[in-house]
Amino acid sequence: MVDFLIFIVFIIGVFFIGQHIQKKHCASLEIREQALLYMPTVVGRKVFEDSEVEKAWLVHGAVVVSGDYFKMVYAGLIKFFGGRIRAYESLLDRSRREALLRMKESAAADGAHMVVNVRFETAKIGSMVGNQQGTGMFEMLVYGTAIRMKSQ
Amino acid sequence: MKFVARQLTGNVNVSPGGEGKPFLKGLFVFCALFFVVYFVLILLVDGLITYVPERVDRALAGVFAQHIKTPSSWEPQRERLEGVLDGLLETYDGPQYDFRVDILENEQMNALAFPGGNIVLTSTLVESLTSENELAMILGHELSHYRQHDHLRALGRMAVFMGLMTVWSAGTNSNPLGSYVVNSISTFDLKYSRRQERLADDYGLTFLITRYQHAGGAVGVFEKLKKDYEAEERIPFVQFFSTHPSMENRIQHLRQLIRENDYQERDQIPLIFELPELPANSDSDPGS
Repeated sequence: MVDFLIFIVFIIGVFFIGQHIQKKHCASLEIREQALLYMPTVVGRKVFEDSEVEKAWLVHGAVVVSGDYFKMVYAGLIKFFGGRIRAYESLLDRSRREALLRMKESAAADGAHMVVNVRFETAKIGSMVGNQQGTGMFEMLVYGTAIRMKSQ
Repeated sequence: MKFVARQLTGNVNVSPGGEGKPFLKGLFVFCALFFVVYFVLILLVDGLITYVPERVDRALAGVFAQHIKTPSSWEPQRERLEGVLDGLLETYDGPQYDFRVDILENEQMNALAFPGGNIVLTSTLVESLTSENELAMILGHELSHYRQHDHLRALGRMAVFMGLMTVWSAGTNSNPLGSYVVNSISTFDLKYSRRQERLADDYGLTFLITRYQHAGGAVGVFEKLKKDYEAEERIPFVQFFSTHPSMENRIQHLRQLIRENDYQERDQIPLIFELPELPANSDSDPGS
C-alpha cells in the first residue's frame, strides 16, 4: 500500500512538472511560428511564385523527444482499455511543430524564401537504449527543399 | 497563385481536454476493476479450497519434498520430534496427510507447514526448545494450518496474484501501475495471513491442553521466538507489512486465553534428544 501511495505522489509531481514544461514549450512554439509565418512551407514540389529560382538546397529539422513517466503510465492505462492517448497526441504534435520550426529557422538563416516538398519521418530510438520498458524515445525528422528566388 | 500567411487557430491533432482528469478516471476504474476481480477470485479460492483433491496436494508435496531433507546428523532429533507429533495426531481432526517432521539447518527460528503434511522446523528452533510442551505448541500450531487448509489457501492466493500480474503485464508491456496496484492489494492478504496465524495459535494451545492437560510451554516458546525476532519487530510500522502478528501480541493473546479459560501452567516434560551412539573405537586411528 505504501508503494502505491509513493507512486501516486511521485506521478502527481511528474504530472505537474510535465505540464509546466509542455506549457512553456507551447508558448515558445507559438512565438516562433508567428515569427516565421511569412515563409511558405508546402508539401508540393513546384514553386508557385512566378519569379525565377536562384538557389535550391536541402534543409532539415530534427528533434528527439521522450514521454515522461506520467505519460508512460497514462498510456499503459489507456492501452489496457483502449482509446485515444491524449498525452502522446500532444507530445507528437509538439515534436512535429518543433522539427518543422527548426527546419524553417535553418532555411530562413540561409536566406530561403520558402521550403517545398516537405516530408515528415519518424523513427523510434527507445529500443536502442536499455530495455524497451522505459518511457520510449523517438526522433521526428522534417526535411524539404529550401528555395531562394531571384530578387524582383 | 498567391501565398497568404495565416496562423492556424485550434489544433485538430490533439484531443480536447486535459490529461489529469482522464488519468484519474482511468486509474479509479482500473483499481476498482482489479479489486473486484481480485476479491471475487479470492472468495472462489477460499470456497473451493476444501474440494482440492488429495492427489493435487500430494503432487504439490512432491514438488517441495525434493528440496526438504533432514541432514543425517539431525536424524535422532527428527525422530524425537515425530514421536511428539504422533501424540498430537491422536486428537487431530483435520484433513489426513502422511505427516512428517523435517529439520532444516538455518540460523533463524522458524517452523513451516508444507503441502502434503510436511512440517519443517529450523535447527535453531529445535536447539532452543527445552520441553516437549514447547515443541507440542509449535507442532500444534503447524497442524492447525493443515486443519485450516492454510498451505493451499496461500498457494491459491499466490496463483491469483500471479495471474493478475500476468494479465496486466501481457496487456501493457509491464507498465509499473499494475504491479503497484496488485502489491497494494496484497496488503489485505497480510491482514488475512495474520488472522490465520492467530487462529493457528488458538488451535495450537487447544492441542497442548488436550495432550498435556495444562498450558505450560505455550507462552515460553513464543518468548524465545520474541528474542529471535526482536530486531526485526523493532522497525517502525513493520507490523503492517508482516504475515504474522508480533510476538508480543501473540504472547499477550495466549496469556489472555489461558487466563479466560483458567488453564493451569504446570511442570513441563524436558525435551531430551537421544544422541547417536559413537562407534566403539572412534578415538583410535581409523587407518590402523
